[in-house]
Amino acid sequence: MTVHAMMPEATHDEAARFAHVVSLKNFLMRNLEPKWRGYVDEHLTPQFAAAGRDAAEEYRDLERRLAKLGAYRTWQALTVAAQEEMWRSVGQCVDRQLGDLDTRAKTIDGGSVRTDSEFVAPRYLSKVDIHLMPGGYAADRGGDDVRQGAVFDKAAALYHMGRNGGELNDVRGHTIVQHLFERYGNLQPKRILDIGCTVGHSTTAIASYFPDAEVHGIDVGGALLRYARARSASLGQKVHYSQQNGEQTDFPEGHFDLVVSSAVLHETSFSALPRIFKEAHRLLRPGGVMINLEVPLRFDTHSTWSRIRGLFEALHNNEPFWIGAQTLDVGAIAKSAGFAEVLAGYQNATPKADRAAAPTFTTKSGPVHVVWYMVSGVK
Amino acid sequence: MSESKQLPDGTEGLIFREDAQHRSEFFSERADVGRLLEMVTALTGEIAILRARLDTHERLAASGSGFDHARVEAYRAPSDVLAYRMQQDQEMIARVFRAVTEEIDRLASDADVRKVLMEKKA
Ligand SMILES: C[S@@+](CC[C@H](N)C(=O)[O-])C[C@H]1O[C@@H](n2cnc3c(N)ncnc32)[C@H](O)[C@@H]1O
Repeated sequence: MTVHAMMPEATHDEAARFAHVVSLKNFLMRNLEPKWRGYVDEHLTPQFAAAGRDAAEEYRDLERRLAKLGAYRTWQALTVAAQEEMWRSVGQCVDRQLGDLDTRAKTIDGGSVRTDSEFVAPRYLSKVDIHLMPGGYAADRGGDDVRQGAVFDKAAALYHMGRNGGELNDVRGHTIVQHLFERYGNLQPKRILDIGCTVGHSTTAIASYFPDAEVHGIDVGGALLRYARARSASLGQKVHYSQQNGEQTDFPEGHFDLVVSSAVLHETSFSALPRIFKEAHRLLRPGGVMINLEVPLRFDTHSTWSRIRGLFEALHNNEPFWIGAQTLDVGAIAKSAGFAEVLAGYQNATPKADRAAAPTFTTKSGPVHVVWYMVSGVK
Repeated sequence: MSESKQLPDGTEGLIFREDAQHRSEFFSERADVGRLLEMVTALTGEIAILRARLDTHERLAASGSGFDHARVEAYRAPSDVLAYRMQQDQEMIARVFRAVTEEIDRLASDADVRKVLMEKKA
């Protein structure tokens, strides 16, 4: 039994291969990386300090010298190899059943998809394959193709290693709704937009709280969106997906009561991010609410190792805006886009939003997947 | 690449590897490390699958249900079995990559390495 009708099924051996990819990632995350963190932050950084230098400031040069060490290059290459092994093994599993998946998507009714054959993905998404996913978010073979959606969905459960709601990967969606309940509990959204919805992991969760609302999701890839529609429908949610750039959509002004984005802003750019806020502002009716969820990382508070690790993420996991996003004052950007009552802080991750739950939004940060960074405001 | 000569793109805040269009520099100019690691991880994957199949055989045998290709293919490990296999797998990985782990452990007592890492920019 899969978690929903569109999730690719794994054979005995494919399941074993996936489990092994998770083990490899666990080894890297829990065994090797903490050793580097310990060496760089607890051993080297104090030595720099004793010599009157700031290792965190020098992180780029330090990283270049670390790369002379065989052990460091091996760690880097192993991390890349594990990520590529994940995509390869998931890709093979999906390809084996792709015909079935394409057909199944068509038999599941509910919601809609609107693709645009003229659509061009922005450079920050098209220059490299983010997360090393072959083809990137925009890959689409046209027709009924759902391949990239199926690959992303299956891999996401491995990628997050169960920390984002298992195979449904919906904790971020529930966390956004929890934030809404805490801040604007009386809002009864009739139209909701999720910008950068990918396969609708968060969109579907959000839709489940507002059965009367018309829910929209936009992203850059046709295959992602076809898959997303069928996935949402198989989970009982009718969502309207369209292939659009969040910087400039074709929805009318004042069309939405709630506009959200989840883990999207760090995959944009300095110029795109403020444009997305301006567009969200245009799309909201007066009194409408905007909520953005992001990774809870701020570059200025990073230790030496965290900076070096950030550089690795940017260069070798193909997250070009990873560091840039962590240097921005997103709250200030929201204000200049016209939002009022702007709050920026941290919300505890939750698998289920509850109006009666004690509020958890604070200005105190915490680890990724335990808390999420939130920037919200009202038009 | 790790010799990150390129600086963040000042206007857009984006950082790319110089060879960003390619898979990864580990598989080109650092082919020695990258290709080897790719093969080693692929091999550990094959071993993990083999061990999982063996474990499935043993469990089917113990349950007395008999085993053939179809029964093995149809077997889905429940969560306690998955946890056991994960544990075994983690231990296998730790043994295979022991050399890297130990090398990182040795760094803290290596004054020569520290000297290189703390070299002042020319
Ligand atoms: C990490 S995924 C987000 C996952 C999803 N929102 C969730 O919470 O599970 C980032 C997504 O944002 C999309 N994205 C980034 N910039 C965008 C833009 N300008 N317009 C539309 N989608 C965008 C990417 O294509 C990608 O699918």
